[in-house]
Amino acid sequence: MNSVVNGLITYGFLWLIFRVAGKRTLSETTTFDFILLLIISECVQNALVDSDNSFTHAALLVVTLVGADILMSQITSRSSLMEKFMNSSPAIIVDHGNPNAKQMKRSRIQVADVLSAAREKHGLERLEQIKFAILEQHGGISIIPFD
Amino acid sequence: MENAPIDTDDDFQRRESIAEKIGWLLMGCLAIASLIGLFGEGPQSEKSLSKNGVSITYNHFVRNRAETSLEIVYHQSQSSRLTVAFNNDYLFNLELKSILPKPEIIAADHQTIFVFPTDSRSGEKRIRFFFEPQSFGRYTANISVKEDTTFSFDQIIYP
Repeated sequence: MNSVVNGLITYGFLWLIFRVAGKRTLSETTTFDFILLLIISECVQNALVDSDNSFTHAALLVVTLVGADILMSQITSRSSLMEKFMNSSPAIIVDHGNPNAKQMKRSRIQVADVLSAAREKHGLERLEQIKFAILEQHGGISIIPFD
Repeated sequence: MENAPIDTDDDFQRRESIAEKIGWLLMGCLAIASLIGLFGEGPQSEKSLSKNGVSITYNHFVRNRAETSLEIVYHQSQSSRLTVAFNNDYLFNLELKSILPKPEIIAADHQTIFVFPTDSRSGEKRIRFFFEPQSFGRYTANISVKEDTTFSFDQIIYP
């Protein structure tokens, strides 16, 4: 029973922490963000595995975590409200070359982040070349250039 | 927005931003609570009880499977054995890792008695129990030192 309960509580806790941290925390944009995710996985591992190193415990944990993920995806696919609650929603941060300052401040994004994504994905150089820049649910920035 | 490729919902974004800030505040409060010892080891957790020249220092807040210690300080005036008795209700939730100095252990009805040898030198003596909680909850320790001095305290063990 502990395997399932620990797995569900850990999954729920991590979801809550990353949901509250905001979309950008998920995107691994900086070395520190990447290191943070590595360290978090180490912290959680001890709580999940504890002193039980059996294959059975590991298998039960994996089944519980994957099952929880499937359940989440089923719930979010059936309800747009639950989808927004669980996974947030994308937000427009640049509209026809004009940065949405309020949205960018909320999302802790700088113009430099948008320009970096624009260069990386489309080879664009200036904000004026961007029709829409969208902060996606996973924290990445999508760029739609002008035709 | 003109021909926006997604459904923008400013109201949701605003409420989400507020919820995030509340979450950050709670996380900050959690960190501060931990620093002051509300989750184990810290000024709010370390407690001391004194009676008849004997004092016990313990952590009021501990965490499951995290080692903690309990120290007994007493004044030895003559060469005699010292007994420390713990109630079994309390001990059964712990794994005793080590005890310094090493005692003789006697099991009694509802207690476990630790008998410590003493030397001829009088003065302040210390005993330390190192243990690891095996379950979480609130437990009451009843500890008798020298058979005539009893301490009773609660410990909260976090999961």
